[in-house]
Amino acid sequence: MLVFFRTIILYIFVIIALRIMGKGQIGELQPYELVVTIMLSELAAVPMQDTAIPLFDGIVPILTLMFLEIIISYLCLKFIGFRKVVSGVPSILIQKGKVDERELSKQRVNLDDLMEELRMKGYLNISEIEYAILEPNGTLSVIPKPETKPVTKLDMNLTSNPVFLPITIVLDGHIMKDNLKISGHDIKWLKSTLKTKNIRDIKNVFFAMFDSNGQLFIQERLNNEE
Amino acid sequence: MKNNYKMLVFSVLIVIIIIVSGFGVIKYLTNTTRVLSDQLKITQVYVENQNWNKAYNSITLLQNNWNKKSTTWALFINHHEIDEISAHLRSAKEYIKYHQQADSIAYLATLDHYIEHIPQIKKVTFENIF
Repeated sequence: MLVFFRTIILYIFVIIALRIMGKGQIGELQPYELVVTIMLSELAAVPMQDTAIPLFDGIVPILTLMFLEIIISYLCLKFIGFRKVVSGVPSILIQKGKVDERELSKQRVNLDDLMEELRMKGYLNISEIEYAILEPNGTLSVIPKPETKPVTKLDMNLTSNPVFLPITIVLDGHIMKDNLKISGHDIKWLKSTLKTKNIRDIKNVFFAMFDSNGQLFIQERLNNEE
Repeated sequence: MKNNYKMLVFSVLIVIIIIVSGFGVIKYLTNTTRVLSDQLKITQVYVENQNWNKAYNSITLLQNNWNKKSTTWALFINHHEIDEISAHLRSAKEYIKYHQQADSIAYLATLDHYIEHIPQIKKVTFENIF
C-alpha cells in the first residue's frame, strides 16, 4: 500500500518535471536532455520500491535535475558557444555527393549505419544525395540532389489553395469554445449550421472541425446514426 | 521568451527552497540530536553509578522523546537508521530494567553513536559528498 502512494507521488513529480522541461524531453533528445531523462527514471524508480528511503530523497534529485535542465537549456538559448559545447554541432557526413570518410570515423558511424539510415529515409543510392547531416540529437537529415528531388507544384507552376489551420470545434458532444472563437464563429452560427444538416442537438455530434481547406467536417455519433 | 524567463525564475526559486530547507533540516537534526544525546549521557551516568530507578526513568523519558521525534526524522533519514535507534533503545531499556550494567552501557554507547552520526552524515562536507 505504501509503495502505491509513493509511486503516485513520484509519478506526479516526474510528469511535472518533464512538462516543465519541455517537449524536447519527450521527442528527439539533445545529449544533455538524454542524460536527464535516463537519470530521472532511475531516480524515481529506486525510492518507489524501497520504502526505507525517505520520499524527499527521491523528490529533491528530480527537482534538482529539472533545475539543471532548465538552466542548461536557457544558457543554450542565450549563448551559441555554450550550445556548441553542450549539444555539439551538426556533422556533414555526405558533402556534395561524396561521403566524408574522416567525419564518418570522427562520429564513429560506419558505412552500414549510414546506408541503413539513408534507406530508412527512402534513399537507396548515395548518388541521389547531395548532403547528409548528422544532427546533434542523432537524427540524419538528408538533402537530395536537385535532379532527384520530387517535383513540386512550384516546379510545375501550379497554383495552390490556401492552407488553413485545422481547428476542432466540437469534440465528443462538447463545444470547444476557445477554438470556435479562433475560427471566427459563435455558438449561434454552429447551432444553425447543424440544423441545416438535420442535427438538432450538439450532443449528437461526435466530431466537428474546420479542415486545412477551411471546410467544415461533421461526424455524428454512431448511435444517433443508427 | 517571457515563458522561458518565468521557468528560469521558478526553477531558481525551487533550488533556493531546496538549499534553505536542506540547511534547516541539518540544523533541526543537530538540535534534536543534542537533546537526545544529553538525555542519553544522563542515563549513562545513572547506569555507571548503578542508580537503576533513575536510569530506568531517564531512558523511558528518552524513549518517549524519541518516539515523538522519530516521525519527523523519518521524513529525512533512511528508515533503517530509525529502526536501529528504536531497537537499541528498547534493548537498553530492558537491560536497565534487569540491572545488567555491562550490557546497558554497551547498548547506550551504540545508541549514542547511532544518534550522533545522523546529523554528521547529512552535513554538506567534502567527505560526505564524495
